[in-house]
Amino acid sequence: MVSADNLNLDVLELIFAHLDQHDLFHLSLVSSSFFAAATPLLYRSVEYGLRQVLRPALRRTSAFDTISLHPALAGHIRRIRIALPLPSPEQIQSCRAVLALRAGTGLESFVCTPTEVMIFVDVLASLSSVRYLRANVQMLKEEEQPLLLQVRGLRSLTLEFAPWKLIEVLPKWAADTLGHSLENLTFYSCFGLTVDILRTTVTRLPNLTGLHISTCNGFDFLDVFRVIPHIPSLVTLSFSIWNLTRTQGNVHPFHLPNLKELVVDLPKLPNPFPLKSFLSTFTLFAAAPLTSLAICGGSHVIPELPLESYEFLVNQHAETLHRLVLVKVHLPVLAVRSICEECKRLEVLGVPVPSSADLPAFIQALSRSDTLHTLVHVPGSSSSKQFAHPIDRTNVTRIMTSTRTLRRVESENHIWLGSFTADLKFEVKSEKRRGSRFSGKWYMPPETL
Amino acid sequence: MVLLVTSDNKNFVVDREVADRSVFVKNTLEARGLSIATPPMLNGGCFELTSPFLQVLEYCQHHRGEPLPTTDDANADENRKRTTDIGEWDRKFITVDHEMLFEIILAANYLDIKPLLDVGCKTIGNMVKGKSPEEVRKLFDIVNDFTPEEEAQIKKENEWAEDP
Repeated sequence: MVSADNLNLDVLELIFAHLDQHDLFHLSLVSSSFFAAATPLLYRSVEYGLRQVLRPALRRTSAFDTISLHPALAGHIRRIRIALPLPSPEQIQSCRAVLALRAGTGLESFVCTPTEVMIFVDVLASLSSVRYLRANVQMLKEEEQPLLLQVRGLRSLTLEFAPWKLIEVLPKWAADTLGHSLENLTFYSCFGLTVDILRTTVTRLPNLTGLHISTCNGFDFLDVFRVIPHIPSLVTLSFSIWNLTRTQGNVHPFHLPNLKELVVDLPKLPNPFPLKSFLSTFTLFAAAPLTSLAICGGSHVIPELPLESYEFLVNQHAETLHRLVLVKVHLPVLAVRSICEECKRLEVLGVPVPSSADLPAFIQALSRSDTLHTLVHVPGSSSSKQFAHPIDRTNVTRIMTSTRTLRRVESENHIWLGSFTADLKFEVKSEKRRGSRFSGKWYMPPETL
Repeated sequence: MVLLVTSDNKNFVVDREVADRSVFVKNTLEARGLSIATPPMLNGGCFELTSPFLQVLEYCQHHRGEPLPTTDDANADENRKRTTDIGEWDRKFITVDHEMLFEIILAANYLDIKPLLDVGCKTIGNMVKGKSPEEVRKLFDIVNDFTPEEEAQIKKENEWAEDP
């Protein structure tokens, strides 16, 4: 007789591949055969993150400590993420020990966001298999730059707080090593970025398909528009609009025939809101076959716009859009209705779910879609917080049963999944969202996170 | 048409298109140089399968004609793994007792029918999600073969993965 106990290791690993670390931990305690199958997956991705800081009282053994005890576990590691704000000397020591164990082959992704990244730079050059690198390089000394510039074969590079001295050598880095492989380039809070440097850099990256510039004050959308004509093969793009009132008169139209994903955020909004300028920014992308569009207000909500404006924004991509996300955007129910009617392929919609009073009209609006699969509740206008949170089992069931294709509703803390039971009853299950899984910027392309 | 023979000597005559859902059967038939264009060509292959075979055939018949997943696309593979969604028909199809579920998974693995293997694995994944080790043991009737010391050590060393 076949039972869970004598499934072979390969099959158990396939089953466990769908599960997260929390579940893998429980499965590793079930029996020795489960332990053998769960362990490689459990140690695929190890992290020193906020968890350890927020709950110091737990005094748990970290993954890094366990790996130091059993060095063979290092062989399973594919991703290492060090995201502690202020690592202690002991923590740095155990991270270094694990990195040294993993040196050579197998490590695919290395994320290191504490400002103390320079302590790892020497190890980095020996991790030749790393394809994805994200690092806070604020404290990188000029004499340490050559170590970083030696890193070869990167497909995705994310720099945080890059000092001017490093920005300056980007074109050389691109020409010497990055040019052969780099597909995605992301900047967070790199204040020294200039149009000339970025333009020279991207022209030396023939494989570049993704460019993301986030929270780099001073590098405005008009600067981005002077760089992207040099990357005609661009597929994903994110940028910020810092000053919407800047004149756009001298923007040369550009053609990005492959652009699929666009994220635009507006951290600052002038008052009154320059609607014409806002819409003309998006007109520049009218010919792009976008499958995903995200527009995000910042500390201020993008105010209610005339209904035609929402239609204008969405309709130019109505034939291709699979995913639309509008964060901190005042969104009238009529606009939701129009979106659901016009976008024939829409599967994922991220919008604020309105308060109880507007909920029936919102549910009606969603039901106009024949394709919507997932609804994500995102922060919206402040008024939606005046009432009790509308996302509970009753409301989720109402939303799902009126929109035939909708099977998933996500809020900040929960994921609701709808399905039919064997006797054809509709049933809604909820899962609690775990740990840091729900990044505030989930709509960003995965390579930037 | 092709003839498939199970290890307990039951014969199944099925359309080539249905049989081809199994990469194992497809490769076996191709290796023997059989032509699809000259039905009814009957040829045998012997498979170590008994009870779940009817179920597997039902699955293949339902999904006949759909594009087969490409094996070399790593991205598609990752996506397939990440999502826990199972289609409506597949969900009803896989609503069977545990033993049959394991049999179908083993058969799908042996016959190399990736989408079916996926449905089975996701179904079990959804069953164990959020459950304690003891609940999982009860669910599948598994014997805890750890000594208390071993169990305590694994708990201590892997506890970092547990939610706070």
